[in-house]
Amino acid sequence: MGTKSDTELKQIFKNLNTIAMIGVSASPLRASFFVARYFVLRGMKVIPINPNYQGKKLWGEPVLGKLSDITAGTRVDMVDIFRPSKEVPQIVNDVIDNLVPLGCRTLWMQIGIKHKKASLIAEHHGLNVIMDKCPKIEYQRLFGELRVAGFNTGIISSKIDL
Amino acid sequence: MLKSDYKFDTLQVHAGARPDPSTGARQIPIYQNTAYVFKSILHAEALFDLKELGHIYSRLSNPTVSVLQERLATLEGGIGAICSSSGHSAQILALFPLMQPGDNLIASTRLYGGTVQQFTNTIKKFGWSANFVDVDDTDQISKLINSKTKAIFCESISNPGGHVTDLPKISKVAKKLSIPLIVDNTAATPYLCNPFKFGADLIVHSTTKYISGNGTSLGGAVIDSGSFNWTKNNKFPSLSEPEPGYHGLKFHDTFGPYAFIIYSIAVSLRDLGMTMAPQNAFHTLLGLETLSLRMKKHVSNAKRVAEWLNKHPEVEEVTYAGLKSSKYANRVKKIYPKGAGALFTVALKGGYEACIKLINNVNLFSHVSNLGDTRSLIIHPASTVHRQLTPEQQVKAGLAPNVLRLSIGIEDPIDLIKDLKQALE
Repeated sequence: MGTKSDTELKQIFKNLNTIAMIGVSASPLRASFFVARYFVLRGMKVIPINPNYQGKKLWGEPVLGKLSDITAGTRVDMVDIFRPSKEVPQIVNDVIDNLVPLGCRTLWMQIGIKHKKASLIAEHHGLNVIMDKCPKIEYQRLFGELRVAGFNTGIISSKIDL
Repeated sequence: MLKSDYKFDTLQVHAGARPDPSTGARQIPIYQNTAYVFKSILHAEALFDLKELGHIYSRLSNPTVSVLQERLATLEGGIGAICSSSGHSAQILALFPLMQPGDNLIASTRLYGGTVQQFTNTIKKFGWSANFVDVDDTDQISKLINSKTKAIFCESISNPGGHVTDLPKISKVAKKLSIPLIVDNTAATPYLCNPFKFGADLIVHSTTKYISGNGTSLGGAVIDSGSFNWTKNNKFPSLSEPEPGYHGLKFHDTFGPYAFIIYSIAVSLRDLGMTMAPQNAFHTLLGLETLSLRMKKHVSNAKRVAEWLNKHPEVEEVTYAGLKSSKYANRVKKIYPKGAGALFTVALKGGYEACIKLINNVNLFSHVSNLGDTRSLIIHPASTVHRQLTPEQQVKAGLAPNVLRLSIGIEDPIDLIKDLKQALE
């Protein structure tokens, strides 16, 4: 539970247009800012959620106080969690109530964040759940960028299109 | 240690490489190139801020060198690797993110003489120092460690003696005191020993030796396990504290397990510039494709030559840990199950004179200052590669004047024995 194969991960990334990031920081030195900006630079829409910055704008999007503040009818493909593990169950409930009916399919928990019970519930509601990993690192690993810096991507292939 | 779904022989050929995306070329292209075009100002900014990874300038990274880095990282089971211009520069690159002026490291007395020299004299210019200890004596290691100690450094198989190090025992001490263990795995290679499996945190290589294998190209590498916590205890400010060169970025905080390698590219290689040349990376990759095949032959040859020498009446001692009679036989079985390498020393009863005679009379063995070549090599360490050591250091390294170092190649062992026989007699 909480892990996906490389093929499944690639599929998730290929269908990714909008990400809600819960707990994203406005400080350009924080890891969460790095992750958000990275996906924005790749043309994705990031909806920042953090009550501390509510009303400000990040990457052209207004920062929301909570998940349920997302405008009714907005389709979010993935929710990325930068909050302590103990807050995951409440977030899962909110995602199931507000975002799953509109097509949200992926719940991602950053490195160090895990919650087995809440993950089971999320999976039961059709969500792909990834725990204790960073989507930026996985994206960089799967699409060749980590290779630049000599990281062990685990990818072995004789095909030209990787 | 990171596990791959593939076995060693497959990884040594495939890891890190892919068919060239623009031409389909199957062998790895040599990117003989210095700078890389940015897609836009935004892209350039993101690269310089480390928000994206990409090639900027070949002092930092190069596509040919990157393949070698990923292949070595994969073979060692690490998270990533950086390559450098030589094994000696790899040692500095391993220490640079860890050490501040006034800091020290614990180093094995059995290290290669050039390393002892670098750690005794040269690193003092950075304000660093080394305390040398017999790393079999772990109590002594614990005693020497103080608040300024930032690493324990040893070789897996030592040069020149071929002594096999008890890595699990040393890593226990390192873990207890939260100090990273750096293992020079040059003489063993990832085929014979996996230091990360036994608790090492960083591995260094002189890729000049068995990794490239043919004596063509200088090179070094540092491989990171990705498992050391650089922030705990606040002992490694380069990785845990704000970096002035990057607007106060904290590397470990931001990049987690990738911090050491990203720091090594963004700061160490950027400012020290000990970069591996792409041409050297290519030659090293060619050699690396056959590492396991060569190592099997190196080891079986070394065993035969060492056993033969051990019975010769002119020979006082053979240090090869792969000898049936070696006191390290159990350690070899446990930590180096595929063999104790192909490097050892031999002490001659006839003293220095007999050593000179042997070197002058060999016809296949080459008298050179190198090891890990396909060719068999011979040298008198006390007068050459270990010459800068004090007599006391030479004795600690097992190098009396009657000692020769042999690096056994992949020729036919019968020819090697014949060559030594005629030279001794």
